[in-house]
Amino acid sequence: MAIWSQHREGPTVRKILAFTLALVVAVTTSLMSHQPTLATHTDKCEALTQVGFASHGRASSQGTRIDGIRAEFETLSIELCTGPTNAARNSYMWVAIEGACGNSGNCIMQLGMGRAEPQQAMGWWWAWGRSPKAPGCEGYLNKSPGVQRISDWDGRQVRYEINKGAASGTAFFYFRIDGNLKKALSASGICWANTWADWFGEAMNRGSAIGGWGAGHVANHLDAVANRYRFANDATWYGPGWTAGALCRIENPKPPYHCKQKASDSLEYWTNHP
Amino acid sequence: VNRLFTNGALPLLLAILLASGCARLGAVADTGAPTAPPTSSPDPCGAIGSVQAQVTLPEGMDFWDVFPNAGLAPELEGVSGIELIIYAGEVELTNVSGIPGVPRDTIVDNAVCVIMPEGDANLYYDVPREGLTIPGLSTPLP
Repeated sequence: MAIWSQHREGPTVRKILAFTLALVVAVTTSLMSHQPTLATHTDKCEALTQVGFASHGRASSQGTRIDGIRAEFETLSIELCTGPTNAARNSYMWVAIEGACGNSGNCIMQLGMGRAEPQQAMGWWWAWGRSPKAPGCEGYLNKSPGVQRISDWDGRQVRYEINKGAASGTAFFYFRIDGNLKKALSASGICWANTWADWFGEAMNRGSAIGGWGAGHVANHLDAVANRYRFANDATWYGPGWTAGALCRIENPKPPYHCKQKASDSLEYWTNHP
Repeated sequence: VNRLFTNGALPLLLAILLASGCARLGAVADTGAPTAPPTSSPDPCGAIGSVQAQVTLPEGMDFWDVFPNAGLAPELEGVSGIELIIYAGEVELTNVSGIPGVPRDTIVDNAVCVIMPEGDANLYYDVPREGLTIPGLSTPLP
């Protein structure tokens, strides 16, 4: 009452009060609309062309094709660097099946979660590609593994799975999230040999995070757990059996990205920006 | 605002904005003439570049009517209703993922974006252009 009675003191005071009220409402609304997140820091984007930094764990088919991969990703929002920049800054967590590709990175099927422009909100994503340089792919069209948005992320820890199956006599790779079919890709388009199962985090700009934030910021690592893969003609899902304490393989400059084996079937990913 | 109107700055600004918008609207030709300037934001394929033509095809197999020398793409067979964005010159790809640690092709040539019936966009590149025939054009393009 005391506040509103001051309205009579003049239009300037009234304007200040109205502005303050609007500011409070705007800030409150903004805070309430945020998706679940534990990462709290973003760094400046670097003005680089797209690079693709990654940290990952990989399992080999040992001569047999890999027809399935799965994992659960912890509930943790992935943060992008802040502009201004014209460089890409997307960041993701993936399960992927890969194959030898003749020095091309195209031979991959991948499913995961992350954040990317232009939507920027956390989402589920997939991609697949192919190269005529890959053994078995001569005469095929070159297809870039461009990332496509499936839908919004629901903020829960769910299973991401790519698994080969068949319908009406036709083989498909099925992409499922939390058991729900999201995409089906005809296996006839995958001419390369599916040789590796890969669980990896990826950032297109060194200012963006892979997973959570480490030293100097909120220490929270993004865990990929229950990592499994499946061989062709074998219904069993196997764990990768990583050695205790082993570091993940990290591509491109190691800092600021890190990952580490957490259990024989799980990895944790984080980013140590200064 | 009144001052801006009276000295002519605002009408001039509006005219520039209007002209710019009209230019952009007219930039993408349906019939394939190489008229479009490079786009400034990625299209459904995540590509930034000049568009030579944008066409809709009734069947996926019609892709080879447009690009008779293109290689195999089984994912286009048996689908109905695809849209092609055919680029002129090199394009920059902004959404390329791929195998970790392997260089990525982010600047590509002879590229075509195919928007599939369910909305996913497939970016193909190094697509042979010999015999390229775009529906609506009377003669094949070089």
